[in-house]
Amino acid sequence: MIKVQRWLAANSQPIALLPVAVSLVPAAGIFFMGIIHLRPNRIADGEAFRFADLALPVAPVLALAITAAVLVVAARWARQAEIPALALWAVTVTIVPWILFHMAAVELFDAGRLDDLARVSPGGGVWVALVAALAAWHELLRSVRRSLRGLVVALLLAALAFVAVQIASPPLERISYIVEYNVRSDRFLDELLQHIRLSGSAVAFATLIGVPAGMIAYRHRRLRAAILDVTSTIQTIPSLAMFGLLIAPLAALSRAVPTLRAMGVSGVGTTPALIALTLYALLPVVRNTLTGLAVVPPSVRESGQAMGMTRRQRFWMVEVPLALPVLLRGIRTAAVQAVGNTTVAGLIGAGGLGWFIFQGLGQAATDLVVLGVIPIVGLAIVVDRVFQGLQRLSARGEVEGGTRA
Amino acid sequence: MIRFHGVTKRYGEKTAVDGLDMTVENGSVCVLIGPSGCGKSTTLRMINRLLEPDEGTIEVDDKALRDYDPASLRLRIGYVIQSVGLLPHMRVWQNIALVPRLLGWEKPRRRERADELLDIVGLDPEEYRDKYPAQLSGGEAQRVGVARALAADPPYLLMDEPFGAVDPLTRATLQQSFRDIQSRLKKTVVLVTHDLDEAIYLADRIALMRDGVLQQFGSPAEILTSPVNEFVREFVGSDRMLRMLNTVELGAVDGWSGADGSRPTLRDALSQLLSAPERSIRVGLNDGSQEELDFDRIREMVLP
Ligand SMILES: Nc1ncnc2c1ncn2[C@@H]1O[C@H](COP(=O)(O)OP(=O)(O)OP(=O)(O)O)[C@@H](O)[C@H]1O
Ligand SMILES: [Mg+2]
Repeated sequence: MIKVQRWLAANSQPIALLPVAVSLVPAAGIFFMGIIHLRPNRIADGEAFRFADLALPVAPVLALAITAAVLVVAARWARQAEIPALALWAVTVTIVPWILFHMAAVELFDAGRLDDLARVSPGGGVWVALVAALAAWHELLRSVRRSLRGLVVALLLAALAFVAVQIASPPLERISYIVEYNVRSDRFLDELLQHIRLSGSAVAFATLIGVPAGMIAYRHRRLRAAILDVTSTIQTIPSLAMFGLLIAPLAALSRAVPTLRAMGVSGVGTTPALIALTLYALLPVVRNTLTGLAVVPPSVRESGQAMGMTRRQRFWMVEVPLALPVLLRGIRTAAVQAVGNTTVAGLIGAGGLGWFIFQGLGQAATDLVVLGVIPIVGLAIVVDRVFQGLQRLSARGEVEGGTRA
Repeated sequence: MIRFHGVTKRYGEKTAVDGLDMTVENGSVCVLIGPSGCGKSTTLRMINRLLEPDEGTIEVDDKALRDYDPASLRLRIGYVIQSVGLLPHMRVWQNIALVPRLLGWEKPRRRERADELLDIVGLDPEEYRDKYPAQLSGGEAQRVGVARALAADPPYLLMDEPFGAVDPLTRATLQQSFRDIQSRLKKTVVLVTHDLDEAIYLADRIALMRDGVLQQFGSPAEILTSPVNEFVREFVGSDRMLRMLNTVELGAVDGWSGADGSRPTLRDALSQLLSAPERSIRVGLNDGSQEELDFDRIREMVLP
């Protein structure tokens, strides 16, 4: 036991007070705000049920929550076993709200209020507790060393799996988002893939165009301002206006050139969406290519030259590897932005997850909107993390041991 | 052999190097010295064609520089600079084996060569080969810089204040190792420094410059004992005869102990003599013979 404690202590740093407080306070919301939201049908206004409105087991939940919270505060105060206490807290605040949500749903079902048309969704308290959980996990991940991080992630995944099981078990198949999903599960997969395809190709095109453009901007001082001006002006065009602007010329082009029409080019649909998204993604790629090349220290560049490298060798062996982390940061920005921007493509018939959002808005069906929003946010986070990892890998030399003048 | 014929380099109005004539013999160390801005680095950088002269020619191995392809010329000329300029994204061994890589050596041979060179410059290969430059101290980085310049065994070596950015003790060790390495490898070296003692200690020939003009070119002893003009006399200072003591290296001096592997000079012997109760002390000469040293003998030794 003591050994384990020492090992934990050696692999972590003291937890910070503020995030812990941020995680403790909103958790209390579960007792005061709604736990479950019930609507008689898809678009009707609903009714929120709070802890007091339902016959939920107050005493054990309160006891568990208070114990976990007190343990964290005590551990932090005594500077002992902080990590296990915080981990316990994180797990508690992650799974308990969903257990309660499930219990509430069972109760409503038993009371006969959950008929075939009715929908339920988590109440405000559950969402606020989610914020608390995020803060707790974030702090937990931050305060452990890399060696322990895998363990924490495993714990997080276990907690999430538990929550998933809760959500999936009856009568919660009646959760509004899941109902919306079930109705359109094929469509959902299609649009998700289309979303990934659109944003992915846009970033690929932007990289293919933007990297050479950035290199030209770097080499030719006179073109630099022009290239940067054009790409940044594009970014200031609102996305709806951009799609609007592209419709007329593309439609004309498609009418004039039959081959293009045969290839599927038209004023609406994938072509204008891809063009607009690529244009938006250009700026971060161009700018970071330029910055990346510009920050290669002249002494390093010259040292390559003095070692006898040819221009080409210098470019591939010195400039590219040194500019790569900065370039990747640009592509990362472009990719995260593209995932968001692709939403608008739903408006001009290019599909993607935006389709659900605009359908939902049109039908005043919030659940449908949420069904579109959640995977977009998830996708953005995944893309961000993947590129962060790549960036770290590419910056090995500079990161390890810090930078030295 | 490196030959300068009337070499002039201008930056706009400013003449950085003015009509330089000079010959660096094979296997010798030529040290460029002079006040800041006198054109030392400019001279050095013309040798590997980082800069092109405006007038005159430079010959390497009796062939004019402009007849060489710059990249392949540089593969034969090691280059060490004060800021070291190691490539931050490559490990130490990859930095050292850079020129061999450009020359197309196989990887196992490059690794082996990097280890050899780490040994030569006094760094433990086990410990250092896989580090990144950011993980080295200033002195270690400079050693790696020297190792990199030597990697492909180039006949020529250009060094611009190679021992500049380190503390005096480390610098003394680096100078000592440089001398040892040079006595074995016999490279043709052009070295820039600000430090007159360093110049005297390392040079076969010293080139003293001022405002782009070569003032005097000669052995350390010549520069110290027969300055050709007022500027040189002032530059070497009124204590120039004390500096002369450093040009004479001895095998051993009674009662003297220095850093590992370092050898005493006449200066150390004089210091011992001043604190000795007798009028003379015993010293070992470089050829292994022994000698009684007194003040008169010291005078004879510095004024050949
Ligand atoms: N790229 C350049 N453009 C304009 N002037 C330059 C340039 N490089 C050097 N100079 C000038 O040429 C002169 C010689 O410079 P150089 O670098 O050769 O001096 P140095 O003897 O190496 O000086 P230091 O001891 O300070 O390194 C200086 O007056 C310097 O200002
Ligand atoms: Mg200089």
